[in-house]
Amino acid sequence: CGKDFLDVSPTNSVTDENFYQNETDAIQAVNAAYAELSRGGQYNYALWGIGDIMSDNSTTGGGGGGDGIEEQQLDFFNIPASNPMTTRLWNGCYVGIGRANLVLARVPGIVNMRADIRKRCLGEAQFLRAKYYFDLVRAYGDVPLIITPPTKTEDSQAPRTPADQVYAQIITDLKAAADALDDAYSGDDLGRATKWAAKGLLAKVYLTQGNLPEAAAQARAVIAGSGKSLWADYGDNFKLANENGKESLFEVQYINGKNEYIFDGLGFVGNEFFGPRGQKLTPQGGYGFNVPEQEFVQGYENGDKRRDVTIWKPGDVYPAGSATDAQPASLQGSPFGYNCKKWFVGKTNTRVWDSPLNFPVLRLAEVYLILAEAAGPTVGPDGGLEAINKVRRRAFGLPIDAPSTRDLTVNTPNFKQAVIRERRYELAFEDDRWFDLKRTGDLLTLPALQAKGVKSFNLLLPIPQTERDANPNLTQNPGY
Amino acid sequence: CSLPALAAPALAGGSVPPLAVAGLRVVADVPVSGRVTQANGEGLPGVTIIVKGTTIGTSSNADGGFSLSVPEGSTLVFSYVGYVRKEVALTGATSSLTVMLQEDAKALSEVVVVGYGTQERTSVTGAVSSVSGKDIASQPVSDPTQALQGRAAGVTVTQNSGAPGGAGGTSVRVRGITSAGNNSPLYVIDGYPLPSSDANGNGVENQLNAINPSDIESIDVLKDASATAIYGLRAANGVVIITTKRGKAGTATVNLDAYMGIQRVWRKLSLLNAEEYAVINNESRIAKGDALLPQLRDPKALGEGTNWQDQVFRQASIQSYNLSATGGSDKARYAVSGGYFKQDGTIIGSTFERFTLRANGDVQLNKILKIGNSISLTHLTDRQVDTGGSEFGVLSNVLQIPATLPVYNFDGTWYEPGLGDGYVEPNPVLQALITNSKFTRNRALTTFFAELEPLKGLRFRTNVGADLIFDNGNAFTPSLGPNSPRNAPGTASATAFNNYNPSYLIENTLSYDRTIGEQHQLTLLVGQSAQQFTYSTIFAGRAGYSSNTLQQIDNGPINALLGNGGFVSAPDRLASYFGRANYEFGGKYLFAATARYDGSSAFAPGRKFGFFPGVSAGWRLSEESFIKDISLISNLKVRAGWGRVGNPLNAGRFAYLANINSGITYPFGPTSAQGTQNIVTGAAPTKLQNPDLQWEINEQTNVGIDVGILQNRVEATLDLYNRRSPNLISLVPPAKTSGTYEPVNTNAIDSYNRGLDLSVTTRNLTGANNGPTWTTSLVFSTYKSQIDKLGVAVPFNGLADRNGNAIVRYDQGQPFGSFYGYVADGLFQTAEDVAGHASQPGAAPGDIRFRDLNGDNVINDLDRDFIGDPNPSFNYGITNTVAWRGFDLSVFLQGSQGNDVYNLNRFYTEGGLTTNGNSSTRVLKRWTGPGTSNDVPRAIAGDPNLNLRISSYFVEDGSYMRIKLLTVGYTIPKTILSRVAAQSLRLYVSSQNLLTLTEYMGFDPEVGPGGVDRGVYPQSRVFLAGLNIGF
Repeated sequence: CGKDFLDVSPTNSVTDENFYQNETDAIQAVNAAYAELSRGGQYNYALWGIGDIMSDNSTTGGGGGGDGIEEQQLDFFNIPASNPMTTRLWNGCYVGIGRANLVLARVPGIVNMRADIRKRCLGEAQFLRAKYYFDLVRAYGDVPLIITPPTKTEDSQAPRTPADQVYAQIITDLKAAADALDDAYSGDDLGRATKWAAKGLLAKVYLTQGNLPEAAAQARAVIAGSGKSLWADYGDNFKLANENGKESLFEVQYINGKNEYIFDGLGFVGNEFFGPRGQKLTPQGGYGFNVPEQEFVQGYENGDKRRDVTIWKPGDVYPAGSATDAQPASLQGSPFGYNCKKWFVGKTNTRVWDSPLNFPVLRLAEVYLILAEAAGPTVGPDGGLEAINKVRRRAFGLPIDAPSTRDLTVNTPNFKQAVIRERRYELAFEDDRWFDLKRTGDLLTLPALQAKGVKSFNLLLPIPQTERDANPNLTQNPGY
Repeated sequence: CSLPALAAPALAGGSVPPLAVAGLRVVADVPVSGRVTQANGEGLPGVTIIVKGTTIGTSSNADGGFSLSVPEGSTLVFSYVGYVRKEVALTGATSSLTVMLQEDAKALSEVVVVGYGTQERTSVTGAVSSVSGKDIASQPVSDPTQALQGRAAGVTVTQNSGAPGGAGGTSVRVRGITSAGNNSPLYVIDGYPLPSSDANGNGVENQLNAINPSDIESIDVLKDASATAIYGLRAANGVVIITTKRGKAGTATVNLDAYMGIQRVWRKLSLLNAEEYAVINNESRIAKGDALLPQLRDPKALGEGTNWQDQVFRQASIQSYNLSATGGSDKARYAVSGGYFKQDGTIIGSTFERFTLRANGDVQLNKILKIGNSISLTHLTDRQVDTGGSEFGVLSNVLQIPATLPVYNFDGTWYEPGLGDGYVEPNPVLQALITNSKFTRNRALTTFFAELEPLKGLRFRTNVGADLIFDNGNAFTPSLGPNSPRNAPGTASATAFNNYNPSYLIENTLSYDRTIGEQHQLTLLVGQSAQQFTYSTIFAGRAGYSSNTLQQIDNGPINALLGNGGFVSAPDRLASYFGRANYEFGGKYLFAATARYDGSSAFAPGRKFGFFPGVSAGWRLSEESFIKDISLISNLKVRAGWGRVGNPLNAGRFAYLANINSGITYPFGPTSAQGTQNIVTGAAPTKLQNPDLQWEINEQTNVGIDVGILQNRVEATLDLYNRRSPNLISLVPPAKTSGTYEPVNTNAIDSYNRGLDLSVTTRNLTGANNGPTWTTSLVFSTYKSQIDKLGVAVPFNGLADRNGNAIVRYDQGQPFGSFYGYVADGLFQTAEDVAGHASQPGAAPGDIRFRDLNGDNVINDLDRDFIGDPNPSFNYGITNTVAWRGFDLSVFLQGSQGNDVYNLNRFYTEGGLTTNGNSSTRVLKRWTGPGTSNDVPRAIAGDPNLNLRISSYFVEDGSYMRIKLLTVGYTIPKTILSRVAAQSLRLYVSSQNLLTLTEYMGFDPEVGPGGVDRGVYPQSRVFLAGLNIGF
């Protein structure tokens, strides 16, 4: 028999040996890196537990008992290294990073593709890699910095890299992405990361690092250059018709009707998970998780129109076809009758855990608040006061660009706290609050969280046990 | 791929001697007739009788009789395998020649098929068990491997289900298990190795139910690595060699074998009747504080209700007819047969039907060239009912459905349980019958060979073959009435598939047999083999049929295409080179060396080939002068061997590559509201590559002893073995920092398996003086296997329950397949008991107390441990055969001792305690107050204590002993038969699974190899009557 008798390649599968050959392959490789954003490792599960429930904004809710045990563990800061939400955040980020790394390693070698598409692909991969590492470094501190695709098991068993180096890579990637990406994409490419998404995220990274001048500079660049503007009505941000709309810098794309009952599908689970429990507002009746805290609800200023966009409160009228006419005074898991409403779309279709509503990663309103925090109570059109006041005026339904009675002034005491408070209500249930509390240190001092048992080491999440099992070089964070 | 051309005919042409032709005859023919007998006077059929120096010959008939015409003054040569050849010189015509053939002094000159050749039993140095075709044909089995059960030492056979036609598969394990993955042996039929994996290279249980058991001459099981190494890469789990019947020169014999019988499940479970069910249901609801179901408020009014087992189980028929003809001349011999087998299942809706045809031929073309073939064609169809392996099958539902529910509504339509019943699983009768499904398999297994023997002892043989498997399946699930919860109008659906899985083989071997001087006997073999397997499939499904009458895929709405797909796989190829040398000195000292260099296309470049050696030696002590004189000992041989073999079944095909997962989707585009978002394809590897991936290796040492005493009235064979598998494959989860999440096939685990096989045959009565004969044979085997080191692997879970809770766990220091869970420790009797115990959420008096194994005062996941071992301490088979004056009686006992079964069915048969359906009557002994029970927990809805969690509460002793087969037969005396055309006629009645002794509470202790009972289709008790007629 000939020597080549045993040289057989699979005919019904593509391998990494014969992929990455042309432009289509390159685009598909990038798409795969986006996909993790919409899955359980990010906005479809892990981040609402970490960003909201683990903060002072909301509590677990649900059916009580063992229902949502992983949310309860976060809620009460009793977090085992096996907690599924913290484990999935790690997993989702690294899977996304791995795919971005593959794009960056393989796409430059593809001969048969247009230069502009190649540039876009590489820029998107750098943006996404930075986004995932930003979540990792904020949540876990030092994490393995892997920027080339591992080919064998041993290559992936890297030790933790100091957070500073991770941040340096994030900044490098975002700058490169900002250079490579276009101002906007349209048509079938709407939803891809843009130059302004990269710069906006860069502003947030600088802010997190405490580099206020750079944060302010990047925020100003976005405000001036992105062409984006605030919706007159806060609620317009969260409507299906306005997806990827005029205030949006970057959002996770969801679509319905493709699957159900999974966190890793194409639809958002929040409609069902956050819907008032058993009230039949959603396809399966609503699970009532992620319930707004009473203190949070009571903290709304009178006239803040964001409240009725963000939450259900007793007496709020339900759409037709619900179990009752209006939100009851209390529900299972929600003693004060509050529920999260921001992601409510109702019974859009017959499938469960399957909302089409996109989820914002970065809105222009947040960029204004970044500017406000970075620039402080400075005056002038580029100043911090005008930035926060635009957001506040819109919140009260006032003309955005005209001074108003709701404006903060140079005399506002503790301006930074005011900005953080504004972020709390502007960005409520956008999975951001825990990161703010951690950044400001309020996480350890807020009485509400102390009552829930927060401990000093909770500034970082535990490294997942499964990951430590697979990678002997990985140390655990103190306290876990 | 080119082959050496077969040059035989041209080469052979010159050396053919002139055949005897009429004109050359110088003497007259005389008629000769007579009878060939055994020592005890019984006729010996099938003896070859040849006129010495000619090709004139015949063979003896069923009674030993023969007649032929021979040249005057000839010498007749009588020969028969296992008997001493005898020459009888004739002086003239004779009609009453009686020739008694002595059993061969060696008596063991039984021929063993050892792979690419045969060996006399006396020369075998490895561990080989053999089962004769007679033993196989005597059992009413659909899959011939089922007949190995209890007949071959060290071979554990488990029927995975009692489904008709053996369609549930039969697990054959040679010397236990050494792998966490597939442990199936390699099957070789007439030299053709059968495929043993699916399109992905994952091992599958082979289904030999396309092979007609009546066609089988013998099954030889190569057990130790020194014997199996000739099959190299695929030999780690042993090799089962099946040889089909071939023609013998002589009078044609035509046989008709037929049997018909009835089958019933040997055991039904004792379930609650309607009244009892209502009592328990009410009690559990009251305990929880739930409202009672109105229709159950008055249990006494409910009476017996529906006996669902009677609705689902039935008496079913089994029938088999085989017609075969064998015969031929010295030059051309044939064996042809046709068979029909039909078995209805003991569960309604299941049935199996098989037609087989076989034609085996051998032709001596000339003095040096012989050709031959085996052709078998099978057509089988069956209709299966979802039973074993699924917890959602008919059997699980029979156990769960309350007796309060009817099979039909008053209007005759199906009753379908709904929410108001407090029970929503399907009506099992409906479930068994609703789908119109049919599976068809057509299989053609053919081999052709040519053998050239240019010099005595030097043979060149070419063997080519093909195994073509065509599978076809169709199913249509109709819709029912408008109120049907599961089958409402518009839900009717159809599925269909076609698989075509052909494989091809070409082999060339050169062998040389030579005796040098008196003392040295040498046999050499070298060969080459190439085999290719391919797989292709296409399937389609549609749903939403508006009518139930047109059931084809085409009749369904095209916009509701449920699924379709298919592929043609890249070929799976094996290229092999092998050799064997046997050397015998003075009939006392035996040596054998085997090696195979095997390559497989499934592995990475540079990792495709492996070398698999085997060596063994034997010493026939009984040939030594110091023992030869001991008359007590007729045979004594010691053997030892070592070998290294492989198992590729758990490595998968191309599993070393990182496949690109093209199913990663994400939407882009304007807005969901306008429907303008498009789903785009994302692609990335989701698994790391592992170019180092190799097959599993198995190194085995074997020592054995064969003993025959008192002229072999007692024969015994004992083998001890030690198998080590240093690189078993485990799915090792990657660090997610790899950017992937799928576990990688990795050679990680080190394990061993040590054991003992014993077989003993005693001829208690030999039939002397026309008395009875009585033979007893015993096979016994035991082994211990364990994972020694996990290496880079982490402990991993196997089989899980329907909620995903693992039952089986693989860990260091544990036997394969061990059960893992909580340790149940009686019931809490009082509130003080509960308070005094570690914190066990939900616990109350009457609940199971679980042990706090880690002593942290909390009962949680960390308190789980290994709670059972499905591997038996030993298993055995005992056959007693008595024959006297035409009567024969055979009793075959078979059993397994010391194996645990995880009775997952009790999750259902005691689920009634939690309002989850019906229960077995065991729950009548439940806890109802302090001291009432320390075993069966209280009834409470919702199971707050999780009494049904995976725990030792469900682990049962699966030991059993079974009268597997009992047969009584009578052979009609020749004197009566002479009035009919038949040469022989035997009538018999037989029962399979007549009696089973077991303490196991489920349907059947034979639950398949994993030892987890998930509602397995129980074995049948069969009564049948049959006849064998020879013409």
